[in-house]
Amino acid sequence: MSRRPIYMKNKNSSYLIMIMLLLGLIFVIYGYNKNFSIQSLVENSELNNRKFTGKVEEIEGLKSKIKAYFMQQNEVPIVAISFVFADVGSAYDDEGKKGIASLTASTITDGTIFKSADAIRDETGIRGISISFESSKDSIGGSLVAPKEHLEDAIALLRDILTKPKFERKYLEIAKAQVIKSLEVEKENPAKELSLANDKLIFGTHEYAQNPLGNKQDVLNISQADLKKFVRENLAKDNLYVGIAGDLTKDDAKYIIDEMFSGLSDKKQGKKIDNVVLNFDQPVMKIDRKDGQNIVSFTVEGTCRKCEDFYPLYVANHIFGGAGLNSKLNQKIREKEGLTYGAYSSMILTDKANLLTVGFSSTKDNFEKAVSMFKEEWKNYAQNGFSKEDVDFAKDYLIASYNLRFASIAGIADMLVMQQKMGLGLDFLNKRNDYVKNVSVEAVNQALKKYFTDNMLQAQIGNFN
Amino acid sequence: MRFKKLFLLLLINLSVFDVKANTNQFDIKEFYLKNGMQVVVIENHKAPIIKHMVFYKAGAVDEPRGKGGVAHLLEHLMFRGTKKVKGQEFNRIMEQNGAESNAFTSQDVTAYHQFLDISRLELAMFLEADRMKNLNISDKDFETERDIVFQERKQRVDSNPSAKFYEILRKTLWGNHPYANPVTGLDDEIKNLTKKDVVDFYNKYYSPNNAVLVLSGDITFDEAKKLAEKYYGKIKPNKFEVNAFEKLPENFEAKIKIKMDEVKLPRLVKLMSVPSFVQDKNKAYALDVLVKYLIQDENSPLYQKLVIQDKKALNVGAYYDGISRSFGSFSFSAVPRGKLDEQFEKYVEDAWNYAIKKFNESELEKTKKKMLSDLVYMKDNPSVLAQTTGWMASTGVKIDELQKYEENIKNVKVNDVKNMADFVWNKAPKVTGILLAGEDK
Repeated sequence: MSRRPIYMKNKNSSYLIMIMLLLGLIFVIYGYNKNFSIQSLVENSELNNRKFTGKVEEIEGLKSKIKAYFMQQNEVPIVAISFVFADVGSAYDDEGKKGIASLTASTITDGTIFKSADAIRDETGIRGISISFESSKDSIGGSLVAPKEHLEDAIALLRDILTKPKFERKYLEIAKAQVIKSLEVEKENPAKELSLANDKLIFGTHEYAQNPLGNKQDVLNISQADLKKFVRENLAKDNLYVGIAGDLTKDDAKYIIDEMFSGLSDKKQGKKIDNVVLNFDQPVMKIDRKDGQNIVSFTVEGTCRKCEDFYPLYVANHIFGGAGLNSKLNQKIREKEGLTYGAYSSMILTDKANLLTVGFSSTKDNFEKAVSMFKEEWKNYAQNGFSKEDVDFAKDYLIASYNLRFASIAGIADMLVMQQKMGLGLDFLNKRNDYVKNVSVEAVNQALKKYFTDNMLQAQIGNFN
Repeated sequence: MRFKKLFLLLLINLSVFDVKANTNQFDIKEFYLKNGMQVVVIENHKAPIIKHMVFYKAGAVDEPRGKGGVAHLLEHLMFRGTKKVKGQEFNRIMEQNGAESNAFTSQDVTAYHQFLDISRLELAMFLEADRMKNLNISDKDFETERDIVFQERKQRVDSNPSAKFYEILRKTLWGNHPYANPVTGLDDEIKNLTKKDVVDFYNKYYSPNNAVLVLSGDITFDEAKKLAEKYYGKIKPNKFEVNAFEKLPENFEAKIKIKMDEVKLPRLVKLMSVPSFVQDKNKAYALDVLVKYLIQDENSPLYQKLVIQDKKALNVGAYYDGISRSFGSFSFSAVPRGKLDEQFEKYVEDAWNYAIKKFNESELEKTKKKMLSDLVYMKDNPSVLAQTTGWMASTGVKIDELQKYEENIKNVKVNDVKNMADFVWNKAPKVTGILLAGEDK
């Protein structure tokens, strides 16, 4: 028996149909939701709405009056202290002593007038203390990480390293031999060979063009006395920036500042260097090499950390080549065409030059196509800009990933010292997401027009026949 | 005393945090879902972030012969869409939600991971659970991704003489054992892989009973348990058999000399097959102590003898990798200060013997102290501990081993280490490689 006539005759049939439609609609909505809703997965999560509670404070050594940025964090019983001495990096190396900043960083922990290098290594090893130094073109930086229970010893040790280093002869001799060998073998790696040549192309006669390791003759000539003098004259109170994080109180931190840094010279000596002036009137630099892939690097002028254009260009760079596989560049030449393992753009912020660079590598058969696709994309976005959707998407990422910067205590200390050095202000962490939110699509597209220009330096290594 | 004041300050603070003064104990908990999935939970409440990882106990060693690169290509294709989450949506969603998302393939395991704000964890778990079973790749995407992994191999291996050299050494040492094959696959293997090869591998090995979930960060055990069940609990387990590993011939020893034009730095490398944690944990702990004794820092005997005292080498290194499903491996490397000739090999031999002879009770104690003093840092970054724990669990090492690491290291005796040193240098299957600079040097 058919049910159709019954329905037809039923006065309430429209009501029934309505109910059925409604049920159907509920089913569809439920089905859709069950299928997938990003928004509800985030908003309905029990784990939503948690905030990082750490607070940045500025503190000052009671005696030394040295200022530092500080954050207390008691989750793990460790303490990290990061510090930077500005304007003493490899670009500041004196004539005849090229390589001294880098050599200082690699040998400064090799003994003090109180303790031998061997004793220092045993002490730090047994107590879990890590003291390390590194140099860049601009500066020499260091970091101390220690379990809370050994902090006292760690501070005393680092103080002596900074103010009474010995640069023990036997370790200095081998360090110099290692640097000289490194100068010979750097070219074994094509990416390294390209990067050294690229510095020469970009920076020309500026000090940034120098190899940070120096040269053989100068390195051989650097003596223990030179290194001690270098430390005394360059690691000073007036070019020092400090970040302290971990399981300690503000009073502990103030005391540490005095203990560790009071013995430094008041004022840094040494030269000043100029800002880089880029010269775009240069042909493509090509280095022939028969093995491996072809590698290319492009460079244009960028903007400074505290410049007005910083956040718009930051967002633009993220969308174009900073975002990993989702970037416009990777989407085009990797994800759609499979021409390369990866293509990236990045902003280089140094004291004397601000750059925007793009780089990738690919096999010889793909190379020309990849390069021309990159150039097309570059030109296209400079002219046409990104959509509002692109910009909002990038801003979502930059804001949602914000808390990841607090993963490790040493990472927090590094962040604090950069915050102080770059003059971002104590309230930077509170304001940072608003800085990102306030970037408009118009500002991003203006930045594209201004910075994605044809004034571009190009360097490449590989087989171009 | 200069530090009296500071010392007092610290003392006061220490007593406040007395409760968690036992710094070397990791707070790692685990349980199993009904479908067999192992779940590891590590609490770290420093910041509202979490590392979410899924390890599959499947890697390059599980590939059929001649299908080198399947595990790795599959890892790439896992980002190319499922029935629900089409095309590249996975990457887009993860990025929009601020995640650092990636994956890696090794000989033994494949892992997928996201480091992200805790508010996005459920989203990541939904997506990861979804692609455990519902992968759906187009032919076009398959071909593009195969091109990408080919480019990856070219970038990683062809542009790096050291990588080429190690590939040859591994091939020689491991022979018929699957550890001989590079994770990327060889050029021709990659080019000939088909979508069916990848899908077969996926269907066989990607299932909850062959996986380990790690949640490390701002989460409690109860929260983790609830969410693991919600997102991964309903996935059905698979039945499959894992191939047994090949044995290695005893007393195997080979020596290889290679000249490469692009090489500027000659080096000596020895690669040995030794026990892993799953094969013999007591030997593994002894090996762990041995390698730290030999090369922990510049005070270590090999560096002191070869580099500082005798000035024969510019650098010397050793490494023990014991977290693996089959054998572990021990590698030794040295860069000569002068020529790499037989005389240099003799110096290396002497330095090794000198180091082992010098090993005694007090060296053992010092080495142990240095090994254990660093443990507290493992608790700092949730991402680091997640990776270590996941790696151990997915190669079959019990999570307990990490909890009991301190105790296990303390139990190692002088003779255990000396026996392993003798095994490594004189008895283990071994290949010695000599890499020389090319003609233009």
